[in-house]
Amino acid sequence: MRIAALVLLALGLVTSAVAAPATVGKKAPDFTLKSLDGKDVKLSSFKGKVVVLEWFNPGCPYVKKSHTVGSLIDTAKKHAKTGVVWLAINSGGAGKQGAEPKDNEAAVKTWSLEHPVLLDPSGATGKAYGATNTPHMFVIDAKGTLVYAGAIDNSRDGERKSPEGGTLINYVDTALEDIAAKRAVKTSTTKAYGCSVKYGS
Amino acid sequence: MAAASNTVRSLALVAFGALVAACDRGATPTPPETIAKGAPPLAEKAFYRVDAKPITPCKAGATCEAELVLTALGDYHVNDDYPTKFVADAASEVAIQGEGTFKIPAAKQGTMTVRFTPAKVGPAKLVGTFRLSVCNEEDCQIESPKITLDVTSS
Repeated sequence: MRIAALVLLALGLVTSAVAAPATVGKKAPDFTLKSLDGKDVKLSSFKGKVVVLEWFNPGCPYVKKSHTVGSLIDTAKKHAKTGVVWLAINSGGAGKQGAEPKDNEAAVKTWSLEHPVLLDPSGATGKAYGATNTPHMFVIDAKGTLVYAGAIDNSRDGERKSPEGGTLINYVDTALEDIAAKRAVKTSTTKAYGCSVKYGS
Repeated sequence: MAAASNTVRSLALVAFGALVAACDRGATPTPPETIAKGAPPLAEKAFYRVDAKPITPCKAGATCEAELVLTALGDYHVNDDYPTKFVADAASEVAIQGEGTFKIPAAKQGTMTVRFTPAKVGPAKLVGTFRLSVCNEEDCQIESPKITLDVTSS
């Protein structure tokens, strides 16, 4: 009986160690996901580059607002010019809102996205990062360390119209500016806002 | 035999009553009691409606208040993470102060207090955009209905 309890306890500890989401200041969890055109994209293949992860769901009203009137308009394109790699990740489970590849392909076209959208139907990568919302942003520095996790900006309507404190702050822009200036990211965590990630289970 | 039949009939009626009550709880848009019965909503979709409480008498030049009630319908609730506000429209015939004060007294209901100042005596239209959001377990909706409210000042 005691042995069984110890085994269960050990299993629980192992499970919680695996399930612990990514932490700012620690190494970003590696992943390999398929892009919409079926190619494998591996995070560690971008070693030496700054990477931005954007949790994505084209059916989510907040994502729509962010890409049409909010802080995600052309933000990826702007930073691509300085060598930043931008990856959108859809962790929606099969049959969930915005999870169908065709919906993502349509969004890429409509919003003129030039960065890849990666599919994570099992939700394993989303859970490894603790992604709770769409959009939910993560910035990884050139050493592979997670340096920012949270909202795209401080306007929780997704439209840049209601910035807290009256001044709009794009947290990803400021994190990337800090990285470029070789200083610590000043605002490293914020509370993400938006739709819940539509995990399959 | 007759007693058994009566018992069955009573049970059936109770079950039917419970079924009706259960259906009512889920879907019927019930405006708060302070809103005039039969008054049409100022804005409505399948997942929310906006009603206005009667405006208390208001004097020209004074600061007056209008109260809008947002009711989330079906399995939706008011999104407490959204910066809900009332944005004045250029077409408004009364001056609107600020962007309203929003409170959520219950999960399915929010109240927006709009302060305004009528410039002159008589009827006028208060016009603005109610920027709101409601969510259920699966989805969030962001809506911006244009609200027009008739106000009269003395």
